[in-house]
Amino acid sequence: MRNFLPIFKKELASYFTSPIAYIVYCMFLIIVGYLFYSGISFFSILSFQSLNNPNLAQGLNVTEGVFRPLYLNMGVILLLMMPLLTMRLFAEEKKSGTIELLLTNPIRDVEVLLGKYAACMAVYLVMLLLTALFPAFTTLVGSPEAGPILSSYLGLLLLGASFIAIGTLVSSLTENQIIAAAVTFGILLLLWVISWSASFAGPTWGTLLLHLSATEHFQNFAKGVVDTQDVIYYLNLSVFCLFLTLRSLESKRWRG
Amino acid sequence: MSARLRTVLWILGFLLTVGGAIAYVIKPLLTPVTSVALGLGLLMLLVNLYLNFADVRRFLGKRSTRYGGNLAVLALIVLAIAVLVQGLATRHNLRWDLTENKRFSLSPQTRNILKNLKKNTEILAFYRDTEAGKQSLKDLLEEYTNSSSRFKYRFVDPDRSPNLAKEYKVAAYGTLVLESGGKREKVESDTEQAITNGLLKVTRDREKTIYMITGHGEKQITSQDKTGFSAAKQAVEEQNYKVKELVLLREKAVPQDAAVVVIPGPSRDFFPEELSTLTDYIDRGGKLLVMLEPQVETPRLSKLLEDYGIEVGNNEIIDRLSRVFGADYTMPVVTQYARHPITANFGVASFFPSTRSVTPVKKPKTGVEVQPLALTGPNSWAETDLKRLRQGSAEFNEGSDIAGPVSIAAVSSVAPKEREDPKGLLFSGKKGPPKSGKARIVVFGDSDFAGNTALGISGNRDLFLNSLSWLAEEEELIAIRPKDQSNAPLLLSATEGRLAFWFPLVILPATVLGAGVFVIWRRRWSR
Repeated sequence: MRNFLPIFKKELASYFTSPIAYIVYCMFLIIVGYLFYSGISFFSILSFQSLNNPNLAQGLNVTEGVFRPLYLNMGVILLLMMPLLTMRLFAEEKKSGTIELLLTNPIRDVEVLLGKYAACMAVYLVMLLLTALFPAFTTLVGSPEAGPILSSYLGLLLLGASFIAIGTLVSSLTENQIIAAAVTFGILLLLWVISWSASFAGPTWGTLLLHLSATEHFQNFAKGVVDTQDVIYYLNLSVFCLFLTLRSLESKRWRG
Repeated sequence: MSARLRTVLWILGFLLTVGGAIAYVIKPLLTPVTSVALGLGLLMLLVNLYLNFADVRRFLGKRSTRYGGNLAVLALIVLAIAVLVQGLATRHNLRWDLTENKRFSLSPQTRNILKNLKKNTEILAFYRDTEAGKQSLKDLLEEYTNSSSRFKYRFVDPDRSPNLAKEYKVAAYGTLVLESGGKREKVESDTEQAITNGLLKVTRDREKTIYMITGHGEKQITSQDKTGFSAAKQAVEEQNYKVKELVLLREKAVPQDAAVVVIPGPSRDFFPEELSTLTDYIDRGGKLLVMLEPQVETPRLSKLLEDYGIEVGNNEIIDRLSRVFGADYTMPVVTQYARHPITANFGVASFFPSTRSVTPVKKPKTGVEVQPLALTGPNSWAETDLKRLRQGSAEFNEGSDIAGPVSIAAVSSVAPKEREDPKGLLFSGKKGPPKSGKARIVVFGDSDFAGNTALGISGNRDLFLNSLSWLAEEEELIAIRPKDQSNAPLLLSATEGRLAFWFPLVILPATVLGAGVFVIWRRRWSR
């Protein structure tokens, strides 16, 4: 794993020396920020009304009312943003031909893959950390619960890890970044909405679709429940996609 | 064969096969056209394969094909492992609830009941998609399914599946129906306590029996008359109880399997022997529901009730207000209920067509706890001059009449004490020490409120059934303390409100963008 660090650094630098990371951060923060603003404003109005109406105050909880929907929505926005972060990982190198250099050098494919993957995860982590300023802001004016917020971030981290793995895989299959982004987006969106048909797909298929869906597994995290089966779902998805990416890199050698 | 013909054969065979397969998927019937297309297509492909066997062999022998095949097999194996791991993880999962009040955790009682659940149970929640509380109910039911693989839930939109709603006799949005082994149990509340108790009832093997006493001109459970109890019987049976008649004179004791004994509006008094049978029953921890009628004298029965702390007034309630509802003066409306499990969360009015007062005695005997249950309105009173009332007039006389609100139903629970026996003849009799468990008695001043005509009105049915289930279910029903409401409202001041806008929407993104511009410019500069 000697070569992991140099690749990681190089990849990270390429994110931050180009405008990509900043633009994606900026747009992401604006959208999430807007959702946070509208959520907290609406909740504040509800709280104000509840002063006159004790019935309304029952179960009025800032964690449930603001952060649970916020993090659920953040999952959807990630789905839009993540392909933009992952599309260039391999596609760019393939287009410019530098992939040959990487693959013919005495660097193992695993090191290339993990270096790039870790760099993308690091970029994503910074993005998540920036959104942590919203709950931090809320602790100044109210009292949100720490548990559900932490579990939401754990969920987002795992969710992002699997999204990035999918994006990496798709990027390794094409040399066109737009195709990589479009296909990744399509796959992520399908994984997200697949549970919608669970209600009419019959009991067996319905359960299967629910288990496949990335949304359903995130629901628990967003409400403050950490379940091992959800954790394992995301890890499973990530590892499987990374494994396929590795095979796809390898196939470059014998496909000729 | 020319190469061109082969290509045509390939394409035609492929198209026919795929087309036939698609047609079969859309309409899963082997019509002649589909089967011919499929057969012909496959045949063409096979013929082609045979004709091009050398090419095919060369292709299969190529290094890349072999590697590709290996890769496909490997990928399938890894996929199978992933599915296996996921399956194991789903079956043996651990869960941590990180919320402060553990609002996504079930109570230990519920978890215990679910762990011992022997029968498959499904709960149907008749909710519209937009129904308030749907999300929190879903959260709750999700926890149920997580604790037992035998428990399933399903949301049904009664507007979209009216037939299903009809089949399950669901009349209101937000109704839950538990179904297990052919039995159904309706739950009208979405709390954990209600659902778990419903679960207990629907999975209970032994049916509880409710005995209706006859022989004193009581209301008949077979009678379809205006005041008959056939509707009441049906309602009780829908709650998964058995209903039987009981002639006290024929029995030495109340049957062992009696969950509740009901006296539905007797028009003659009881014999002393019958009353001693009842007293024995109560002292053994029996449950008794008594529904009386005004202007019917039953002094011996009244005396028995008085022993257990409940005084039956010799009067009839007059309620001026009930006229607003288009009824007789003697049909009081009850909107005020005392705090009691029977009337918990009970907010609807109930109507009593002619009732007498039923009040707790001033000084109940030791071991007897008694409280009123339902009170008439402040404009009502208990008229004692029944003679004048029969002639059609009534007015409130201070002193003789009781001013409203008047209690028309009372509840008494009797501790299983040894019978008072001042002469020291304790247990000299037949039975030995009484069984443990408090006896419970509910008395209504009226029986017609549960008759065929009035049962469907407003809250009558619920009041009647709640009383019965409180009497019948005591040992099994569990009480689950509702979760502490974790109220965390949040009020933004004007400044904070502005900050909540500027900080996430402007300041933060601008900072990030500024950092980017700075980094990129510096790189250009340094070049």
